[in-house]
Amino acid sequence: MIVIYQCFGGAHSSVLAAAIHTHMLPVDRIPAGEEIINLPFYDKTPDRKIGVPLFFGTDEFQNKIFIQGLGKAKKIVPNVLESFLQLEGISTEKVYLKNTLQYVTLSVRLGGFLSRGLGMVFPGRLITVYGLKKSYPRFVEMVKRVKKEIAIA
Amino acid sequence: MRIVIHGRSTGFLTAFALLLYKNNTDNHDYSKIDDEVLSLLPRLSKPQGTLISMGKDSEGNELCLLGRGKEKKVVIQSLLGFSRIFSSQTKMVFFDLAPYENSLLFLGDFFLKKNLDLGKKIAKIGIRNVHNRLKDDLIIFYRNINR
Repeated sequence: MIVIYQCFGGAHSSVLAAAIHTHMLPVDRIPAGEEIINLPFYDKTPDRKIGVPLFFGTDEFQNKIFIQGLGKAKKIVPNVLESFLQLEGISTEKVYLKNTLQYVTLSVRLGGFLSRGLGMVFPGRLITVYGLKKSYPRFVEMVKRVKKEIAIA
Repeated sequence: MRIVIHGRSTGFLTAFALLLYKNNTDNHDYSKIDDEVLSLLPRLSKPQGTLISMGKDSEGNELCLLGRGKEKKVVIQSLLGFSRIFSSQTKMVFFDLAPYENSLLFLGDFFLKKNLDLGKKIAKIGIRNVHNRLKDDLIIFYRNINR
């Protein structure tokens, strides 16, 4: 199965979720800031890559995990995928989309804007890490639910 | 090959462009093409982002229409990315209707969705402003992809 974690820029919350899913980050503790900052793609995905599904890794069941920034097209892209799969004759059950934006706090949005939007990388990145660490347990629970759902599918 | 004709929405302009491409015609008889365009519109009433298959051209290429909203780059990149992920064997080429969109066409679509005849009249004026340029560009596009 293909799992795609989606957020606005494909740089913060989707990366965190994908990292938890692929065991790059722990599920039994809150990681240190450096562990988050050193993740591939974290706060690094350039604007020109928004929309592109980026391969992140595989999980223990060989599911392929992707991240994707949706920008302002979060309602449109799922329709693109569904209709594309229909045209190709591929079952939609082979893909699982999870939008991680609902788990994002104001500090993550602010930090993301400072770093990605204004180029103020140092303060922006720190603020995103602060925000994600605060909501980290929710991300862990969300990934557990995703794993349970795709195991049933 | 899959040809994707895309604009902000799937309305009068996308239907007109599709027919112009398929017919590849020098038809300036707007009354005839209007009826064909209007008969297509109900099929195009889909949520934004939906790839709508509209048959094939004379070379056997699949024709699709796509209403992609304002986020053109994100939507196209998503589509190409999904194509890569699923190793699609079908090459996709895109024809962008953004250069031909104008406020009369948007207004025409708005009234057409409300089933008002006024929409047809406004859209026709909007099409007249871009018809020649669109026809010429579609001919060039057709020749380039079928070389």
